Parts: sequence; C-alpha cells; structure tokens
Amino acid sequence: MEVLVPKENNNDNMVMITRLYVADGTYIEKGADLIEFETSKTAVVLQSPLSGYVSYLYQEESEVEVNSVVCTIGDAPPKINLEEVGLISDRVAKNSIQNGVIFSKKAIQINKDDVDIEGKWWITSKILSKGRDKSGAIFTDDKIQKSTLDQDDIRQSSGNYNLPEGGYKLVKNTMRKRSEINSLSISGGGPFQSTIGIDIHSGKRIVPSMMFDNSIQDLICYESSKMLGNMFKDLNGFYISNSKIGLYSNVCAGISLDSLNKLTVARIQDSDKKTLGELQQAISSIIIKFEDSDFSADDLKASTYTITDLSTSGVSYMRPLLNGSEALIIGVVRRSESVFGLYVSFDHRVTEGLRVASFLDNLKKRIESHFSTGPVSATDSCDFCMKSLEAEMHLGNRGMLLMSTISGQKSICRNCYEGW
Amino acid sequence: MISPASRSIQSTLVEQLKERVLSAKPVSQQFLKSKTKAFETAFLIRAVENALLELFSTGKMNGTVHTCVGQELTGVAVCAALKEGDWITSNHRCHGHFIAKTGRWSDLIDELLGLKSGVCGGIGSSQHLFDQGFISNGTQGSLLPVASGLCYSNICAKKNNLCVSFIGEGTLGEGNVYEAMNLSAAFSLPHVIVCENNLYSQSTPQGESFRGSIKGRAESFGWKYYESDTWSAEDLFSTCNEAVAYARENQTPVFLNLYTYRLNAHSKGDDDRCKDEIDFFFKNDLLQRLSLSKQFSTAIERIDNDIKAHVERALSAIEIFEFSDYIGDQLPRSVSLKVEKLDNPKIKLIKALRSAFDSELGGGAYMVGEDIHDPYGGAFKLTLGLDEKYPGQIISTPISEAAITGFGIGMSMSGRKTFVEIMFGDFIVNAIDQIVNNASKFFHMYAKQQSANVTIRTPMGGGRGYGPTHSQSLEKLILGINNVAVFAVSSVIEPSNLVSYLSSLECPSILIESKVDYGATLLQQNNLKAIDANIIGGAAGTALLSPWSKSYEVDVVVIAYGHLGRLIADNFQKIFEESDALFELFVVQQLSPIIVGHFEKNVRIAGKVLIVEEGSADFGWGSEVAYQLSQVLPDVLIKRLGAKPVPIPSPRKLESEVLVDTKDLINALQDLMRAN
Repeated sequence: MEVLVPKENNNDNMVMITRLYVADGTYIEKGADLIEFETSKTAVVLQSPLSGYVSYLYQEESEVEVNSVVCTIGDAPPKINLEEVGLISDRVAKNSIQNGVIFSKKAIQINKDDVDIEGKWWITSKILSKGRDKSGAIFTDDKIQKSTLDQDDIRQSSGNYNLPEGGYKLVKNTMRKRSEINSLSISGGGPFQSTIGIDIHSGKRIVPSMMFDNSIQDLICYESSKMLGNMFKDLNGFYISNSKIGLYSNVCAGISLDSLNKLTVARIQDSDKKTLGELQQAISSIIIKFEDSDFSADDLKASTYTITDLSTSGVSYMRPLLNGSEALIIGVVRRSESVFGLYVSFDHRVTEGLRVASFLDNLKKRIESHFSTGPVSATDSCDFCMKSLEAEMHLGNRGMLLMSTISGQKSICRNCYEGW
Repeated sequence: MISPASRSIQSTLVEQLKERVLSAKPVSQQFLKSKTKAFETAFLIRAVENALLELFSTGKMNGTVHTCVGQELTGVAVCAALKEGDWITSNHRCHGHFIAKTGRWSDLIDELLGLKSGVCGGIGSSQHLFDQGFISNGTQGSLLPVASGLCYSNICAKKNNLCVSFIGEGTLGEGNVYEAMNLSAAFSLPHVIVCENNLYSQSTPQGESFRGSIKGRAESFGWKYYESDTWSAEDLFSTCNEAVAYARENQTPVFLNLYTYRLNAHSKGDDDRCKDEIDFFFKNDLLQRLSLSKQFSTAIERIDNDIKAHVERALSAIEIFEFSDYIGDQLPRSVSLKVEKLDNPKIKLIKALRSAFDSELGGGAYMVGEDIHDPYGGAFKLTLGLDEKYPGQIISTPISEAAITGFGIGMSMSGRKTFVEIMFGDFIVNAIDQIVNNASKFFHMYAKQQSANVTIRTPMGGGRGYGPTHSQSLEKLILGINNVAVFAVSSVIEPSNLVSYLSSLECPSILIESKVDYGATLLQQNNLKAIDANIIGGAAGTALLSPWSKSYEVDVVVIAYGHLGRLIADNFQKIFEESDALFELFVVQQLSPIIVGHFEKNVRIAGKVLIVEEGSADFGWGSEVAYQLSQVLPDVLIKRLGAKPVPIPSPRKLESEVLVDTKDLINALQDLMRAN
C-alpha cells in the first residue's frame, strides 16, 4: 500500500521529513506513528494506516512533494539491492538517486551527514569532501573566479557563489525559515523599499485599557486599518509589474510576533470593520495563541499589511522589511516613557513618500486623539442622550461633535447625530 | 647500368626515330607561308628557352628549368587546333605549351626571375604555371584526372570545349595516367592526351623503362590513336587538327603520340646521352634548318631583340610577391562563441546527411564516387534516391580513388561544388597525391588565382569487424595539409548546417564520417538526464554537453569528435559513476584548423583535459589540440586517448579492445583525477 504525503495547508507544495519513527524494512502496527513532517507552519505526525513492513522511499531531512508517495507498507520485508546503492547505512544515496541526483560509485561509499548537496545533481567524492580536493584545499578561489556567470548560464543549479575561505559549518534551515525567506523574496522590496518615521506622543488613555497599558499596538491597528479601508485604500495593495499593482478588496492587519526562532505573522480578518474593543480582543488572543503555538490555518493566512512591534525592547530605530505581497509595514519602537516612534516601510513602486507621509500625519493625529494630556472633563456629554465623553470614546469614536444649532452650541454623540 | 636487352631495345628505337627523321617529307614553301605565325611562335619558344638557360648559367635565375628545345612544334601544332575555352594541362616541360597557348612569353621570363609580374607572381616558377585555359604542375601525370574533370564540367555547361594533357612517354609509368585514361573513356570525354615521345625520361632510356606499345596501351583503353612527329611538319599540323577535331566532334578521348627529340639536357647540364646521337638530331632539327634560311631571319632577329630588351628591363625590376600577401590561406579560422540549444530532429544520421546533400544537389552541386548511383545508393546507402532525383549530378565512377579525386578537383575549378566520396577512409591514401599536390597547392602556387573548393568525404572507423583495411581512422594522415580544412560529422549534431558550410568554403576540405555512427538516431535532449546540450559557434560549431553543476565543480573537460563523441554522450552517466570525475563533453566538428576558443574557457576552469580520437593517438589530432591548449593555458593537465597503435583486427572482442571504449575513457579520467 502506498502512503502519500499529506496536504496540511494550501500554501505548501513541499514538506520536509523530520523523523522516521521505525527503521526501514521493519514491522509497524496500524495506528502507530510512522513519519513526522514539517510544513512551513508546523509539524505533523502521520500514523500508519495499516500493519505491515515499511519501505521508506526517503530519508530524514528530505524534502518531499505533497501528495507524492513517501513510503509503502507491504506484507513482506522489502528486498534491498546492496549492489545498486553500495552501503545503505545512514547516507543520502537511496533517496537522492530516486530524486534524480547521480552519485559516482566512490561518492556513494562516503558516509557523511553534514554535507549539503542541496541543488546539486552530480555528486563526486570530491564534492562530498566539502569541496576539498586531494591536497585538502577547499575549492580554490581562483577556480571559482575562473568560472564566470556566462558559464553558469549554460548550467542549471542553485547554490552559493562565493564560498569564504576559512572553515565553516553548514546548518540546514528549518522549513519555517525557508518559508520566511521565500516570503521575503516574493515582495522583493529590496531597492524599492523606503522608510519614513514619525513620533507619536502618548499619555493617559482617555479610555483606559488594561491589556494595552504600555503599548499602542491596538490603536495603531485600529486607526491604520480604518484609514486603509477608507481614504488610504491605495496603500492596501502590492506590486505586480511595471504596468499594474493589485489592490486588496479587504483590509487584514498582520500582527507580527517574535520570540526566539518563532517569528510569525498572524492576521486579523477585516480589521477595518472591527471596533477598537474587538481589535483589542483579537490581538490579545493572537498573543496567547502565539505563546501556545496554537494557531489555526486561518490565522496564518496572508495579511494585507503588517504591524511589527518592538516597543518592548530598548531599540530606538528600526527599518522593517515588507512581508509577502504587501506594500506597507508599520514598525513601532519606544523612545521614552511617553513617546513612540513609528517607522513605516513602503514599496515605492506602489506609492510615494509624500503619500505615506500624509498617511503618517493622519495616523499620528488619530492615535494621539486617544490620549489626553490633562484630566478628562467629566462634564462633557451628549446634550441629547447624556452619554459621557468617556463612554463615547470607549466605543472607539474620537470624540463628540460640537454642533451649531438655533439654540446655541451643543455636543452630540455619533449615534445621536447619525441615528441608531 | 642499363641491361644489354634494354640497350638493344633503345638502339632500335633510336634507329627507328632516325629513319623517321630522314624520311620526313620536306616542308613546302606554301605550307610555311600559311603557317608563318605558328613557326614564328616556335622560334619564339626556342629563343625564350635559350635566354632562360643563359640567365641560369650567369647565375641570374633561381630554381630549375626543363627546356623543350627541339620539341617546340608539338605545342604549336596542337594549339593551332584548339579554340577559345579549351584547356591544357601540362607538366614540368611546359614552357612551349604555355607560350603556344597564351603567348605570354615575357610574363614567363618574369615568372622564372621570381618577379611579381610573372605568370604566378614568381611563386610557382618554371613548372607551376596557371592562366585561364592552362595549368601545369611538376608531378608526373597528376593533372590528368583533373583534366578529365575539366572535360566533364564543359559537358555539364554544354560547351563544346575539350582538354589537352601533355605528357612525356616516361609519364606512362604513372598510375594516374591509366586511371585517367580509363575514366575519360568510361565517361566518353573529349580528352586529348599528347605524348611527347622523345625516347628518354630524364636519364632513363625508353628501352629500359617501357614495355609494350604506346598504341597498344591507348587502344586497349578505348582511345582513338594518332601519331606524327616534329620533323614532318605538314603531317604534324594536319594530324593534330584531325585528332582534336575527332575528340571534339565525337566526344571521345584521343591519344596523340608525337615523336620528337629534346636537344638539351633534361634540366640543366644533366645529359648522359650519346653525343653523336644528339648531334644527329640537332643537325636535322627542322627549326634549326629553317633558322639558317632567310625566310625567318628577320622574325628571329626581332624576337631576339625583344627578348633581350625585356630581359634587361626585367633584371632591373625588383618587385616580388610580398610575404605578408603570400602567407594568408583560405582556411576557416574565425571564432564564433554564439551558443544555441542543441535541438536535433529524431532521425538517423544517415538520413540527415542524405537530406543535407539533397539540398546541396538542389543548389547545383555534384557528387562523385564509387557505386553511388541508384538503385544501389552507395556502400552505406547515403546517396540512395539522389541519383534518380538529380540525374546527371550523381557521378558513379570506376574504382580509382586518385582519379576521382582529381576529377572532383577539375569539376570544382569550373565553380561547381563537388563532393567526392572515398568509399572507405582506408582508401583515402590513394588520393593523397591529388589532395597534397593539387588541391592543397593550387591557391598558393598559382598566386591565389585559382582555388579548388572540392570536398572529399569518407567514412572512417572500426567497430564492424571489417578488418585492417576497412576500419582505419586515418585522420592524422590528412590533418595539417596546407589550405585543406578537415571536419568530422557526429550524430550528436544535426549535420545540415555543416554540409552547407562546406559549400561556402573556398578552400578544399575533407569531411570525415563514421560508418558506425551512420545508423544512430541523432542525439535527443530528452535522453540526456541532468545534462544541457548546446552548440557553440554555429554551422561548424562544437557541441557542449554540460552536466547540471557549478562550473568550478567540473573536474575534466573531455574533447572528442565523431562517433566517439556520441559514445561518450550515450554513456555519460556510466562513465561519471565509474570514474568519479565530473566532466563536460565537447564534440568538435572542425578538426583543422582547431578553434581553441570554443573550449578554452572551460579548460581553464577545470584545469584538466582529456582529448579523445578514434585513430591511434601518437602524432595525432589530440597532440595538436594539446599543443594549442598548452600555448594559451600552460598549467593545464592534458591527456590524450586513442586506439592502440596496431592495425584493427576483425574479431569483435579483440577489435573493441584495440579501439577506444568506455573502459578506456573511465581509466583515462581516473588517471587524470589522480594526477596533480
């Protein structure tokens, strides 16, 4: 029976085998752990669908295609052709040969675990000796220099061009990191990324919040989403080509969270349509999920822009990198007790500095309007429904309107003005 | 020492000749009057020859000369019968023929003086003259087949012209003569051979070196035979006229045997003949007697004065052919590094070649070879169907490799691209004289006035068990011949661009095919795993099979051609696996001149190169490639691989051990990898 590589999410075409639970050719019971895969987001353990003898087609640390055959489970132990693969031990041979990689006979007999043959198709013993030739020298600089780009145009391969001269150890990237690198490469911001900063003066919140006592992440998320959904729709998109850009039809703020080796961006769907309260809830829940590593697939879907908050660290400057297919990322640092710095990186192919500056100006005003520098006047209230200013702001409105009427100036809350 | 038997034969011959002289009909005044111009030409020839001898004796002339004093009337009488557009091929004793045909006596003197104003810029000198309608060469009989080709090309052009070949009776010892006689008769060509029969070949009397009869030889080849002599002037002119007319009207070859006597030495001062004998012929020489009479005295004086005056001028002239002008040849040396994907149609090499030649024939080319007509279609069936499709352009010949090569050269002189097939590469040695002494030299020795853009194609190589004389790869014998380019076909590369490229060349070329490779389907990219196939340099370019890798990871560059190129391509992975060497393969099409630029950069990066050829390696192609690489890349480690240096045996296993196989390649690569 053929066992296929499971498809865990819509993003991954390839997953990595991180653990083979039983030895090749041995017997496994139905339901026992068979193979552990690592996707770009998480790890998955596959159980054996039936009892029988396992014949793995791949080794640990191999990348395999989703829905392809990863192993078979049969009635009898599989026959092993020693002549064909030389010494089978722990080494790479069997899997790579099946993937099309060609080994010289001498190379097959070399037993090394730490050499990266990623991207290579023809493996000689010399290549396996970490590029050392007989004299022990690593591929000499001049051999590499002699090879020029147009030589490699005639070749297909991936891999590192300028190997440093000293010793170095090769460390494989996790799937997650690879996914991140891919994601960074997609936006290809590169020379087209520009960053503009602005300072935000906070103070005492007009509507206090326990969770966000010392952070303005919620306010940034709330105000920026609203703006991107209304008058700054043109920043809620991504670069496609010289002749076109894409504009998202909804606004989904991405909240970037980082702890050692766990950088993740979780998204809040339709963040422009949520109230401040709802957003605060959403962000808190994301933080909890992050700590528990308990995200759902939906959480990890792509956002339309990202907010990355380093205000809890001591840094005073950051230049965030655009994430995935986005044109805007808002980075937050803290300058002092009451001053935050916002650094917005944007894709210059989608918009320009002046526009982003305008966005920031607006954002600053709106965020700062959530703070008061003095005590809040408790007597401010709607003249029509008596709702207090505090309650009004708690609803997420910036304040009340001062209306001119026949009978003089009156305060009116939003609901009263717009109707229920 | 001449044997008594030969001595007696010779004396008989001399006696018979003397009889002829004494019984020759005296020349009538009327006749002399009607042929004044002709006789003046004869006197002119004699005067020029004497002037040249004097210049030699006074040390003012360089090289050698073979004067025709005593024989002048042969050239004069024959030329009187020729018309515009007729050709003459001649030999070392060609001055008389040349002056009679072209009248360019002063250019001839300049030529021997080595002046740029000479017939061939002073380069060919006495024996190597060229003009439209005249060609001479110093090798005995080798221009006869070329004459056959010239005749044939006239027929193709529907011109009523013919070709006259002058030989001495000593030339009747050369095989070229008989091959050409057979060929011209078989093709019914208007070829006239004029044999100047003067009883001596250099120092060897005819009695010693000749048996049978000249008439018998001519007639046994189906040639019409005429004879005359240079003492019976009237008979001479009328016979020449009749002979030439016969050939022209009946489109059939004619042999004209003219008895005559050379009054001077073979060249200069080398005369062992009996003095009395020479005296006799001198006294009875017609021109000598006529010069004593008043009739031609004015003309003779005028001629002498003209010659003297010209010689004086010429001696003070200094312009010679510049070295820099002389040195350039017609070989293709330009380097193109244009890279294109190798994209071969899925057909066998033989079919691809057939269709390539089909195109050439469609463009008016000719193919010459043994058994190439339909329905046979050639020994390897390459020309199958082409004879029917292009009647008259596929010329199937007798078994005469030398003659058909010369024939091809003659055809090509008329501007018709001609492909000569040598059935098996082993037989190309029969054609080497034509290649080396004619095709190769025309361009330079005739001061760049004439090229021979013939292509000689032949299948080389073993692997079929055909044995020692049907399996050789004789590349090394034909590489490095001046102005002759050499190419090799391979089933790695679709050949039509190469074949049409050959048509565009001006120099002669040799195309090596492979009998074993003929049957291979052209290399398909799909069959190559993790290898890119490209071609560098266009039509005569080099294929590159590069494994998917970084260029600095390649250990060895392998350079091959022809069938072995295909063998390595087919066994790429196996050779890699066994040898533990990562290599890339260049399959070269242009063997000579070598275009190092196609693979120089790759060799520089890899640092090691293996050059593979099917013939034995010593003194072979690989050695030349190695030398050329060493000049640009002194640090490169070079190894060459070829067959074992023994004749190719027939039994299969033994044969494959002698020839290069994958095991040899693996070992060679391993040796290179070990070396540092």
